[in-house]
This record gives sequence, structure tokens and C-alpha cells, in this order.
Amino acid sequence: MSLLQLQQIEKSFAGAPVLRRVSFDLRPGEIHALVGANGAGKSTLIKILAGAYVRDAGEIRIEGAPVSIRTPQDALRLGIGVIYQEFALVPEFTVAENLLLGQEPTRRALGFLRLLDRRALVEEGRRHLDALGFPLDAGQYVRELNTAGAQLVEIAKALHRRARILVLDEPTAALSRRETERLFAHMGELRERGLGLIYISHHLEEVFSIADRITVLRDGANVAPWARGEVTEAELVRAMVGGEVRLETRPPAEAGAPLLELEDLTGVGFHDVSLALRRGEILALAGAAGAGQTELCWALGGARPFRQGTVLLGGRRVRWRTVREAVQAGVLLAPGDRKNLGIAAGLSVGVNLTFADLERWQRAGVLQLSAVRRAAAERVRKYGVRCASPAQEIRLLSGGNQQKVVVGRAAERTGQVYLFDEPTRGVDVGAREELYTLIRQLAARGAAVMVATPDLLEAMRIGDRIGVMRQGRLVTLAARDAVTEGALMGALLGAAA
Amino acid sequence: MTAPNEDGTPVAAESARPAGARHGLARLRPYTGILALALLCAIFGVSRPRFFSPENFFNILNAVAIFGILAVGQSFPLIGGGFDLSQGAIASFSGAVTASLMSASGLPIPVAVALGLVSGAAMGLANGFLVARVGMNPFVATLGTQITFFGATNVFTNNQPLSLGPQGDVFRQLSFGQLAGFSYASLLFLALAALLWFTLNLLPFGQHVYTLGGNEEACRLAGLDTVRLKGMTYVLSGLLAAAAGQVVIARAGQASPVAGQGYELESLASCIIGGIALGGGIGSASQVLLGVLTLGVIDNGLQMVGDVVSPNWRLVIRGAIILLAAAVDARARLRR
Repeated sequence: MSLLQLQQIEKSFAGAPVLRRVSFDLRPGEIHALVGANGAGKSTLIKILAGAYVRDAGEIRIEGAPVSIRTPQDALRLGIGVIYQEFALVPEFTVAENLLLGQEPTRRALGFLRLLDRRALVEEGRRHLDALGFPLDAGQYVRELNTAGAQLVEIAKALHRRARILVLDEPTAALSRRETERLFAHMGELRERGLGLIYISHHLEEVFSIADRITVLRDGANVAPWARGEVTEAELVRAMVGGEVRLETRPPAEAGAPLLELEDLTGVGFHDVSLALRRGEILALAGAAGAGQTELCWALGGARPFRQGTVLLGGRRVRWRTVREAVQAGVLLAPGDRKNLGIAAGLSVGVNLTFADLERWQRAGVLQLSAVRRAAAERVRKYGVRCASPAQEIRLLSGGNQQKVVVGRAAERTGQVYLFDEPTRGVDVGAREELYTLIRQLAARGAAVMVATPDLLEAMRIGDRIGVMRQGRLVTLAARDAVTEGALMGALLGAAA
Repeated sequence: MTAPNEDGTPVAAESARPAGARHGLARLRPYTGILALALLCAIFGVSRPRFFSPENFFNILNAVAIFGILAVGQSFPLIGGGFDLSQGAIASFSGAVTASLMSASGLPIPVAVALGLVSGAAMGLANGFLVARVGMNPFVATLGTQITFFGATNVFTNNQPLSLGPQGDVFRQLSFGQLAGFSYASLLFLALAALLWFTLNLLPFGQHVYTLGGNEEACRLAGLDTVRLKGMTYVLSGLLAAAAGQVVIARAGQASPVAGQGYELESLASCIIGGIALGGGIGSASQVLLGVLTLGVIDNGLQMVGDVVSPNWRLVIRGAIILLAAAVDARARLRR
């Protein structure tokens, strides 16, 4: 019998379907890999399992019995443990204290006091870790652990809460090869104990080395699971990308003169990147999270320093220490993580659209309020921001409309190089098209544009040239017409597809 | 379901409603402050008709002038996402500077005042450096400078009150002189409040303070010089604290080394009652005015009804109003 069955799960957000009749099953004693491109619905699916989202339709069964998961507590009670990439541990607590958080053993004192029983806590933690065979010291502080150690604490914590179904969301993303091997050994042991593990990964070689079965999600629908031996990497890649995808793209830009040239540029998260960005072109840099394309954009925009190598802007060597200096040189960065980096959520749409270049509307140092208001209203129209009025607080807008504000704010400023980091992160399909149009207009105006994205299809859509980054290095760079999705996906995943 | 999204899902529809569609108490939120002030005035006015006399109005304005000027200054770091606990100490020190320059050095009043203000701005600059450049938490930084500046005042004055010297009588006009019923001090406060409105609304700097408080990182990534911007909010707070310090010595007729103790809490309380939330991005000159007047009305009204309600209740009532304002604000935020 299946340990967990998802049947015909559907989920939409504001009318946009994210999961369409997804079915998935997990057997006890199995590692079942879930793979798919960004935006395919993997995160939504596991959030439904974790109780963070509630499904719109479909059925979830555990050991054959239908269950309802409406809150994270429900998921915990049903024995579902989800290990996200962001850990939910208290760094200042010990391993044992984290394992037993909220379930600390107590002892009685003076007949009525219930005191924390530290000795019992450490002993219980140690006993639990020994039973799992995890090489962790129960008394060590979590802040002293590396990623791999903290991850084991998370897994042990879920298992202490009697999880039988363990969901691991890209657990190896931040691990070294040796740490990955050790994690796989632990996962193998948990499989022997009869647990069911759902393993989400972008690394196909890893999937092939550990998973018993593999399910592909694409555009919110699943491709029936394969057993490991039944499928090749190439077939998997094809299933993830889909058949022929019709792309609406603009004709390749006429190659202008090189404007921004990087030579062996090295910084935090990227190494030895050399490329030339030309006027009038859009260069899309694709890569998995942490592959370096975001970090490169940030460094070029002045938000983070680079360590070695040179950057030439219009033939002149440049190096800026702050975003301000980059902006003054005409290099503009639109950050991706808009909630944290892009918008001031409590302020109005108008302020968010205009604060960066307010100096335009001052006379003798005094702002012309009516001019600012007019400009805000005009930008709202120009960038198709759907809001009640420019005075509306921006946090009330949908993610796509917030993103248009971030892109519009950068696009409005006079510059020659525009760097867009994940411009469509969290943006629905319709708004995505409008953002692409905005970005293309900039290139058509003669600017050099770089777009960093984790989504290969997006790179194919928007880029005149497409680069792929993996582990901080630029592994491929080619004109759009000269490459195939399969080759790029292969480069992205490091597979010989 | 309003869980944040990472995976291509828009924020849930219910939160996408325009602000106008909010219901119930939350809709009253912009007016709770002014309603509370009106209610207080009504209560005091009904029990003591004298409360509504013009003299009493001028009284209240004159009484709130010092805290009002401090609150104007406090609103810059507050809207920018921090706060300044050293205001009282800066007021004491710069008052002592002016007094000493006037009496011991015999400098003319404008020079002594200008140098007093410069000393305040310089102390504000120290705060700004610690918070914006060194990156210290504003609580820790301005608590540390508060203690240091009070200590510096003790050293400077040798822990004795400084007299204002022969020019003292002229200087004391700042507190006691009147124009059409308004004391000069209250006029100074009103003028500075108007200047606050002007700065926040009509200067790019003011708008940038809002965005700094709204999201500092977004500000930096948009190319604003956030270090300078944030530092400037503390310079202004220090400068205005020094201005308040001038009124303090004019009112007392001497520069006492302990005069400003606790004043920063008064200015913070005024701002919070007015509806400027800790955390930044929110606040206006009218809210500062409202908060300052509310505190002034409470103090004044309680004095008037002192025969019925013991003045000892003053702090309890004050505290209750601060808590009420903060509670309304917290609920309004939760509804978001």
C-alpha cells in the first residue's frame, strides 16, 4: 500500500492554475525524486503537503485513509516532515534543545515547580541521534554547525516528531560532494527503516544515484513516475522542458558595439567570468539558484564588491564601491527579491515609482508636488501597474504589479546598462509578458541589458544571447538561434544531455 | 491564505483589495488621534469652562514648546527607521555651551546660540556616524551617547548650574516674550513644525527619509546614499534638540546639567501618540503636532481638575494614552 497518495491535486492563485491534476504516490521504504523546471509547481506541491497552502481540489491519502491538511500542525500530526532550504532552527540553542523544542522534559521541584530538566534533555537528544546514527553532538550549539550539520538536525527534529514522510527540498544545494554523499548514506538508512522520502533536486546525476523512482513536474502537471532504470538523463531533460515550446521572441538585435566588458571577473559566488555586453542586446544569464548569475548582476550594479578581474564600461576600466557610483555611471540594477530589496511595502505605489529620481521634479531644491504626482500617474500607466491609484499602498498589489514598479523605477532612470535580477520572480504569466516588453523596449532604445534568471525558458524567451552559469562559472554563451533547450538544460544541470 | 510566495504565486486575492474597502475600526484609524484629542478637550472643557479660554490655549502651546521642538527632531530618525535617545543629553549640553559662551565668554547672543546649535548638530553627527556608518543598533548607540553627553555636560559645567550672565534677561525673552499672545517659544515650535512639513513633503530629502524607513536595502539598491541619508536624520535630531536646549535655559534662567534628563522619552511619546510608528516609513508633521498637543492637553487639563483628580494620576493617564495609541496602531498593522 502507498504511504502517501496525492490524487488529482489542483491549486490556482488568483485564477492562475499552478497545479493541474497532479498525482503522486510514495511508498514506504522509498526515495521518490521530484524534478522540474522553476515554476513547474514543485514548491506549491510541497507547501500543500506541509500545510502552508490548502489544495483547491483533489485528495490526499495517508496509508489509504483520506486526510485533510489545512495547517502546518495538521501536517506534523500526520507524520509529514518538510525540510526546507531555509532551516527553522534556533542558532543560539544546542542541538538537543532544538530537537526537543516545545517538548522539553521537565522535573518537579518543591512539589509544585516544573523545571526544565537539562540532563534529561541532553540525554534524550543524544539517545535520539544515536538511534538515527547521526554524527552530531547533542550539546553543541547549532550556530557552530555547518549547513550539512544543521540539515541533519532538521531531519532529526522531524523524525523526533514521528515523521514517516520526509520531504527534502533541494537538500544538496549548499553541500559539498562529500557532504552530499554522507547525506545520501543517511537517507538510505532512513529508507531501510521504512520511511518514505520525497527528494526535490535540480541535480540529475544525484537523482540517478539515490532515487528509486522519479516524477517530473512540468507546468503544474506531472509525468507518470519512472523507476530509476527506466529512463535516461536525456529523456528526463526532455520531459522537463516539454516538447516543442512555441516562443514569441523578437528578431535578434543587430549587434552593437561592446559596452560592458568583463574579463576574468571573480567575486563572491562567481569566478572568472568573461563576456561582452553589447548595445541594443539582451543577454540572458540562466542558472540554478546560487549558480552565480544573481551575484554577478549585483557585483556589476555596485551592490557587492568583486575581487579580481576587470570591468570595462565603454572601453574605460571601472570599479564602483556603491550602487550610487554605478548609477552615476549609468549602470542600473533592478533587484529580484522585491519584498526585501525592491519595494518599501508600507509606502505608496507613487513613492515607490519615483523616489529614486525625485531630483527631476525639483525647482530650486523644492519638489513640485503636482509634477511628482503627474509623473507617478504617468508611470503607473506606462508600466501597466494595476492599482486603485498611485496613492495606494504598494503592499496591496499583486506580486506581478509590484515587480513592474521595481522594473519601471530602474527603466525610468537614464542609463546605458540595465541589470535585471530575476525580473519575473513570483510573477504570473500575463504580467510576465508585459515585463518582457518593458525590458525589450530598453534594448530597443540602445541600452545593453542583462537578465539573470533561474528559468531556462525565460532566458530563451528574452535573451538575444543566452549564457548558462553553473557553480559560479559561465559554462555556455551562445546566440539564441545557435542553441537548443536540451543543450542549455544539460549545461544548467551539469548533465551530459 | 496569505502565506508569502516564492514560486510564482500571486499574493492571495483578499489582500489585493484596495485600501478603501477595509471595514470597521481600521477605517477610523487615520482619525483616532484627532478624535481622542477632541474627546479629551471635551471632557476637560465641560468640567472646567476655563479650559477653552484663549489664555489657556496659549498656555498649552507654551508648555509644549520644548517637547514639541524635540518631537520635530525625533521624527526624522523615527520615520527613517531608528530613534534618538540622546536628545535630552544634547539639549543639556548645548544649553550649557550657549550659557557659558554668553556669560563666561561674553559672546553676543546670536553667536552663543549659533555655537550651541552647532554643538548639537555635531553630537547628532556622532550619533549618525555610529548608527549609519559603524552600523550600530540605534538603541544601543544613542543610549551610549546619551550617557556620554550627559557626562560631558557634567564635566563642562563642573556639575554646577551655569548662569546666563548679563545678557540673560534679553535671552529669557525667548521663553517669556510674546507676540499676539503666543510666546516666542511656542512660535518657534510652530514654525519648526511647519518646516518639518515642508522638509518631509517638499524636499527630495524628506521623501528619501520615508523610503529609508520603508525599506533601507531597496533604497541602497536604487542608488541612494543611505549612509548619508540616515546620518542626516540624526544630525537634524541633534540640531533640533539643541534648539530645544536654548528654550530650556531661557525658561530656567540657567543651564542646569540635569535639565534635559528624560526629555527624549517625552518626544518619543509625543510621536507615538501622534501615530508615528517605531519601525519607520510612516509619519507626518501633523501627527507630530497632534501627539505633542495631546500630551499638552492631558497635562494642562489634569492641572485644572487637580482638586478632583490628584495630579499623581498624571503619569498613569499619560502611560495609558501611549499604550492605547500603540495598541490601535498594532491592531491596524495586524489587519494588513
